[in-house]
Amino acid sequence: MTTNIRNEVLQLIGKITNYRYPLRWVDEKTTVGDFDGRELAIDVFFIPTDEQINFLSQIRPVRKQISDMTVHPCIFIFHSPDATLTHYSHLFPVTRGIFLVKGEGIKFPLPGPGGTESSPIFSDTEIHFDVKVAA
Amino acid sequence: MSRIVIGTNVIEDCENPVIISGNPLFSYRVEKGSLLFSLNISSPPANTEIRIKDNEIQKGAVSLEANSKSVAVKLESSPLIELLMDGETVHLNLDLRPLGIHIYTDKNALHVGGSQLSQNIIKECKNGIVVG
Repeated sequence: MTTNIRNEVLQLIGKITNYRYPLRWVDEKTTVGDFDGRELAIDVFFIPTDEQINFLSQIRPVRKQISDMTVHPCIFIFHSPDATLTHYSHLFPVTRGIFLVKGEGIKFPLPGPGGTESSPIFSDTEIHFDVKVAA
Repeated sequence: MSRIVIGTNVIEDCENPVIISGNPLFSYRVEKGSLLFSLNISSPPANTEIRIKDNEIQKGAVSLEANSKSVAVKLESSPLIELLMDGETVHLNLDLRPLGIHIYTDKNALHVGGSQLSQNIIKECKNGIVVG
């Protein structure tokens, strides 16, 4: 599956769910655990247990389209808000209370379509905040 | 002095408050009591190009509503960017997700991908927040 198709699938799901939950294709480097079908799995973060069925209902109108794009059906892996913060907080860094004067500002790489990762880079001081928490 | 609040972050006296893929995202000025707003989003990274110059839509299927103190730009029914003038301070709300760029503000923070910027002050920098 090409990167473009992967991005389009995330954009399609994001749009139909009103971008409510951060999404990403399962990442073999940082996903916790191993399982069959990982290459067709999408992580859905910050989704409370009682909203998971609703999520699947919301994407029903585009599931066929997604299956056509990916050739095989996708697997969705739901992470509750607590589980997201416990195991995947490195994907959601928070920069708070910085006071930056006469520098180069705060830089970010262009974020991917699912709304995960993209850590800030303070280029004038060459400090790179890449917060990772061991699972 | 220019003071812009984006998702609780203050950007003060910066030439380019927000840059995306090398292009300043927006600018504004007040002329004869009118608020004139310009917006520039290139494709890529957006899935469609949008260009507004002094409240005139030059490119993109967007709508713009402006008065002397605020400007709002929508893509179909989705709000993309809203600028509100409050004295010397400008409040900017934005949501570029419908354009395929995962940047948006909420009442607590500016979100760039999974990253949150909250209650930061960027002052007298050439560029405030640079993405891409």
